Amino acid sequence: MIDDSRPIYVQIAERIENDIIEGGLLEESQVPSTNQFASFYQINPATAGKGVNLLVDQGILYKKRGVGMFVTAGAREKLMQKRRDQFLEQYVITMIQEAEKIGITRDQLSEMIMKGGKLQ
Amino acid sequence: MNPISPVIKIHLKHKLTWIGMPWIILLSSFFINLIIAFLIGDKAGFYTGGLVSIFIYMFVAGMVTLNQTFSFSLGLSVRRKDYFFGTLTVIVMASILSAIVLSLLSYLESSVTSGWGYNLHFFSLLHSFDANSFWQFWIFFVVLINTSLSGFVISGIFIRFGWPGMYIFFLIAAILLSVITFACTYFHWWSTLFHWVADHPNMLAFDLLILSLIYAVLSYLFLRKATV
Amino acid sequence: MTNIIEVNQLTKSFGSATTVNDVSFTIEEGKIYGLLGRNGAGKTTIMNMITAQLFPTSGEIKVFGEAPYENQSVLRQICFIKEGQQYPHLFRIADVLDLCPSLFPNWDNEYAYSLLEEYKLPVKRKIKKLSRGMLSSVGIVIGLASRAPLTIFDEPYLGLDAVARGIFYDRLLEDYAKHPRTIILSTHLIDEVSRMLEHVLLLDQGKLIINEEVDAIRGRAYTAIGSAKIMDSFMSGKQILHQESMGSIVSTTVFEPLDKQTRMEAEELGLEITPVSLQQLIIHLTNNTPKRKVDLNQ
Repeated sequence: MIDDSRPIYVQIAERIENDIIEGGLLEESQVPSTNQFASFYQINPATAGKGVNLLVDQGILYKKRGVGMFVTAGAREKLMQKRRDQFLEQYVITMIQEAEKIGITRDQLSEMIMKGGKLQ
Repeated sequence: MNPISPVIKIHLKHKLTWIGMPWIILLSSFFINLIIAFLIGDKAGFYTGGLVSIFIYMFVAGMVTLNQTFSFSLGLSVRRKDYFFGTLTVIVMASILSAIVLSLLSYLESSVTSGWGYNLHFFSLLHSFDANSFWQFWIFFVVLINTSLSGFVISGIFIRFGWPGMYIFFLIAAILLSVITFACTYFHWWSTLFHWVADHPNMLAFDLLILSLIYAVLSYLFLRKATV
Repeated sequence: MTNIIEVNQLTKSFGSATTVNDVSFTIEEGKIYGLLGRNGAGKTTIMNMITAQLFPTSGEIKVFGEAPYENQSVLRQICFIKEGQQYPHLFRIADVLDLCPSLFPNWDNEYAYSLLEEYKLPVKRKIKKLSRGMLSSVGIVIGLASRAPLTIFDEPYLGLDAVARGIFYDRLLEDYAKHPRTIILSTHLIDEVSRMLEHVLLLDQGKLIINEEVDAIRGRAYTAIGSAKIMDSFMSGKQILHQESMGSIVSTTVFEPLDKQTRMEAEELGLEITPVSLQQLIIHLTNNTPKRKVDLNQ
């Protein structure tokens, strides 16, 4: 679940982001508390708090005093835009490099993508 | 909360050590001697040293208790000082209790049952005490406290200085004892010594008390610098 | 942040052997610390000195702002669960628990008994007759229920199975959330415990080699795998932590964060990059034996 080779707070932030993108956490809904995250993932509460604060800094979450953390309106769109920006670098370039290494031409590759799309 | 009370609780958790065992041992010795006295049936009286068993036990208990409870107590955030005074309190209380019972039994033996019906001299060995029940109690108390504290201080040497300390202690003790024994034999001091003790039991009690105090101070100094 | 422990140039020698060598660090209030290192690295010796059960050869220790030696106001705030804790030989589990309320001012008896039940500990059984795992569980119960402002666990889960360890992690985090306090977990088993920690102190042969927030250490190293020829050019100028070879394939662990540029360079060279877990990183940092070589050509 949690990968021990990267900072855990980053991974917590990513999990919350995923939940927002996939619709598990709706905008204006409350996010689990730091201690809930901590006991669910068996991690240090301070680490969980750091992950949550990372998203507060980015305007994805906001704090209601005395109540807890909530998802900002428009957070989902904002996160999806961020992921789209990363998509080329994270997936496309790696894919093309691997394709070149094993001798798949660009045409073959785009054909695969079309087929793969159909399979879904 | 008084800081020595947890230490007292530790020692009294199993009352057998300080209160039960001494009497189990002493009473077994007593009954064996009683049976022997019955079988012999000597009118002149049967003297026995069975009483020594309780003093030997107290010596061993003093030695074992430190080994059993010191590191445990320190591990539970107890100060060395509190450990020492808590343990001392228990030793003193146990000695008082045993001394009272010993005095009562001694009185029963010499003045009420005349040797439990078989002329057995088990508890009252020195006639000079029979007259005064406080002195009777006092000498029992002092000998009990002295034997337990001497065990305690020897264990203290071990806890503070480890095996090297033990070796040196026993070496010195062995040399001193040989020299004293030899001197007593050579200069014919033995009978003088025994008569002096028999005639001045209160002085003996006083000397043993001073010795006990020295043991206590030494154990305190050892424990203050002891580690686990 | 208040400092609960301040250790300054601490050294402990036993005869000619130096077990703790010029160690300095501070422990801040309300955090969970990991005191990590291999067996014999000096962890237990340091904890014994913090709790005044051993005396430093040189250096200074302050706990709650004061010297801990024979200091009642300091010691009563500490609960130190020692791996090799001695118990009087007649003592049962219940006997030890009976003593706790008078030793730990914040002791919660109800909580202690609920933990005992969870660990299925036989309270009437003599401690001498317990298995290693049960003995560890007794320590865990005392450590948690003491709610001491400074709670120190020395190798808390020796002999515990995965389920029992899970209970420990769950209860520790849960109770720490409800009653924040300073906790030190000392262990050589870093794998599971690492994510519970906020800060790591890593000891190696008596020296403190890492004193950092645990998330800052994660991602501080990576491993590159590829053919020996390519590796040499890629590795030049980098801080190499560990290297292993198998035939013509070399696996090199680099003690540097992986930046984007290096990643792209490695990918272009055809090197495979894998992350290094905290556990692996610490093994590499504290492995003092000569580099291991696997040679399949023999």
